[in-house]
Amino acid sequence: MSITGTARRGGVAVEVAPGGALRGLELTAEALRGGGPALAGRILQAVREAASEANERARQAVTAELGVLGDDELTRLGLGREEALAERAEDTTPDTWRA
Amino acid sequence: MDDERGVDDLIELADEIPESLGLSAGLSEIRATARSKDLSVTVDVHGMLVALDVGEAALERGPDALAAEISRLSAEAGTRALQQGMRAVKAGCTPAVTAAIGDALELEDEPATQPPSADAAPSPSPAPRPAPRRPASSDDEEEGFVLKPVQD
Repeated sequence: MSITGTARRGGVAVEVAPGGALRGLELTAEALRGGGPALAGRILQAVREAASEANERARQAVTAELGVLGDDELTRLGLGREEALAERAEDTTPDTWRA
Repeated sequence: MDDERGVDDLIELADEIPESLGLSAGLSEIRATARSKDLSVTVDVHGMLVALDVGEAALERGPDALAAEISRLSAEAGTRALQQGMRAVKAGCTPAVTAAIGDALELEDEPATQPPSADAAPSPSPAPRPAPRRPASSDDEEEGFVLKPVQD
């Protein structure tokens, strides 16, 4: 299973696994110009967005295999959701995982 | 997947886990930090970046080297967070469950001493382990799970 989520934000591109572990990080020279704290903030925000997307995709994959699980159960699996971010993730999630 | 265990086997494993461990709550509080001289990367038990300090000197590495270093530190911190998680699991689960989880994570036992990473500055001390936030209340002390700092 290699479900991931991605996000771009101000010269920062991240890819994370469900749960949020970093799978890829790309920075542009522009991203570094704003200084360390601004860069760190953008990376953290991008990670949150990407994790939300990865988690939403993983939830859908898990639900497709196992049926509906409760929010508590999914949160324990590391697939908790933040409502505001989940909407974006739903918009960008394909309907099927079958190639 | 390579896992040959059937649903019945997994249900049997799950049945061995006491219900009121509070293990999930304990795991969610785990944080691990990896540092090099101008960078500090903190992740949770899932390996997700939750705090990041980028010093001015780090910016001078340039975008590619900086991105690689953040990735490396986050992986390092993620491994330590998982190791902390395994300690929590060992404290809260039967050996059979612990072994199964350890196998699934392909997590090696922690080395007795952390080998200094080549690039890391001589960091004075490992990140302080999070203090147990769950108070040892009389109610759930006996069957509740409390994450304790490990005495090395």
